[in-house]
Amino acid sequence: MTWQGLWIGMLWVVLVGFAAMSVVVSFLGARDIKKMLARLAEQSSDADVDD
Amino acid sequence: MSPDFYLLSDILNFTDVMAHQTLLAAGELSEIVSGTNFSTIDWVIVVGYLMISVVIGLLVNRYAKSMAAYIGAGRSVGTWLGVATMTGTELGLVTVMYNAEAGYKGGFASFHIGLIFGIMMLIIGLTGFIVAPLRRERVLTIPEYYEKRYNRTARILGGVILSMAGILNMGVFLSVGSKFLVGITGLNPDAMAVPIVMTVLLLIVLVYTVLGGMISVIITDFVQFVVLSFGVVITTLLAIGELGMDEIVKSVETNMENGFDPIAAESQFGVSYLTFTVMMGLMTCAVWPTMVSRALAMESDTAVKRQYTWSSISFAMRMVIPAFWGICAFVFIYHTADSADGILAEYFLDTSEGAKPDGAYAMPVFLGRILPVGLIGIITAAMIAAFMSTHDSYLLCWSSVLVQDVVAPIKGEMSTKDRINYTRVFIVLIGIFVWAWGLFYEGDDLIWDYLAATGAMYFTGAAVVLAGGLYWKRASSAGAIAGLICGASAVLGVEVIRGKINGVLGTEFNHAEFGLCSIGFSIFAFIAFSLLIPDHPTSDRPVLDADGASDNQPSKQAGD
Repeated sequence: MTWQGLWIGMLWVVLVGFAAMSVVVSFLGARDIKKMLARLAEQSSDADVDD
Repeated sequence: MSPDFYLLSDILNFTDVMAHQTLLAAGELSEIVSGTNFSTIDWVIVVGYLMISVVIGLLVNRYAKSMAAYIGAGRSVGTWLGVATMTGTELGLVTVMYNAEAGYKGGFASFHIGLIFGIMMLIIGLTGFIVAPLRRERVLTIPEYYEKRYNRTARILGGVILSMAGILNMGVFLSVGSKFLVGITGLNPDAMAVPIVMTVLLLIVLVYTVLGGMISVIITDFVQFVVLSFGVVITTLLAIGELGMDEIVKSVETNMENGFDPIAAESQFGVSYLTFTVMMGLMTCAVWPTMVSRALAMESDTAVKRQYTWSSISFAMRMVIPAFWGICAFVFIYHTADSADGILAEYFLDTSEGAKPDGAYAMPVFLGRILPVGLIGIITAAMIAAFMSTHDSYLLCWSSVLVQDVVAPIKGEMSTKDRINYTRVFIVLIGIFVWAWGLFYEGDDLIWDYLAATGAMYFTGAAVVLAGGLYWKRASSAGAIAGLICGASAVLGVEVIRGKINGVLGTEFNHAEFGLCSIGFSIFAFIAFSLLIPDHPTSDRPVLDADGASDNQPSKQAGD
């Protein structure tokens, strides 16, 4: 394989791979935000009780 | 006339010519950036986006009640949000700019950086090298681990080196980012546009980072990820559509010396550069504090591994795609030589004596020409988001290290409220430093080379000391301190210092060769001092955790 072939192949693999990953991460990441905020709310109410 | 007068006259004449050329170049640059497609609609999109970011910072402020929540998001970040925030942080506007510059000057050969970083990230994701055992330690910063495993001196020294390297490293972020915004929006670079943009952006970042800490940082990182990933893919396809893939390849083949081969001596890179990039890739992916702080905020070490594995794609992307934009900018500019837009080639391809075209403007000027109204606003908003998410994370990271690992261990007892307040003060102070450094620092190195040299000051020592602490039973506090100090010698590779050393020695070492030497010194010193001065077998000293509570269980290496 030549350097030229390697880099052009890599460009397309990275571009397509990233596009696909972005869709997955956008949906599942939004779900994670909801979970994180719920946990933080719980932690912060515990801290209030401790205070 | 005396010979001295002739000399003075020559100097004055030369200075006059240089000043004239600079003014001419500056005038050309304003004319060049004014050819952008950026319109009022795009300004509305950008301002709207900035306002949303500030509102998020205000809204999540109520969750930041403990230090663990403020700097570690309560250790409750899931895998996918972790991937988004890792990408958001490490895909900063400065990343886009330095890779574009590397692509613009080095062609496709610059893709090797993305390839190496992607592979290193994948290796760390699959093995959990350093990051997984570090997450199990339940520390919030890397120097906190130094105290658990070694002693308090190692923690304070590690904290000082880490924050110094990090702050120096981000010194060029603000000015480089502002050049992008000036280049793409068409603001007049001669009319103080760069310092004004720097100031406005810094103020926005300071407001929402000071208010919300890591929680607001993570949520804005996520928003940035969504906007930027859309923008990156569309922009790349548009660039290929505009220039044609065959034409891009042909132009690089014809007009760039070794535009494909990164190990050729005549390329922008070479063997020592590539070797240092491999070492740097492994070390930064494993120990770069802003990345590790994401790993430490994850809910489990399995989530950390998944986060790194998936982020390997975005890590390769964050370097390859902007480098490709830089290549496209080169091809675009080259083809304007005989067109109505010929001023681009006149300015950027000027190789006459004394000419110093600012290559950092090439990619934003190119995007300003090819992106349509509306999309250019979205891309700019995404880039500002990239800029802000890197700044907020870096500001939070360095300031929290200064408080947790330097001020608190020296002062002793500190309340959570005091720690958060100190962190906020440091965020503002670092912001002021970065603003001033961005205005006054002038170096001729590639942006990437400056970042590599300043970053190496920290990561060479840290990688050795962390890996040794986690995987080698005989690692000692004396070894850690020696390793950290020798690792910090990589700062000698920064252009202004390196030039002086090369001048004295009559050598031509580059930053990569300085970096490789400092890695060697650090490993040697760490092993030698650990063997010569071992630690006492037991220790009852208290270790302060994030909120100032003492943890009396010293860390044991993963091999135990």
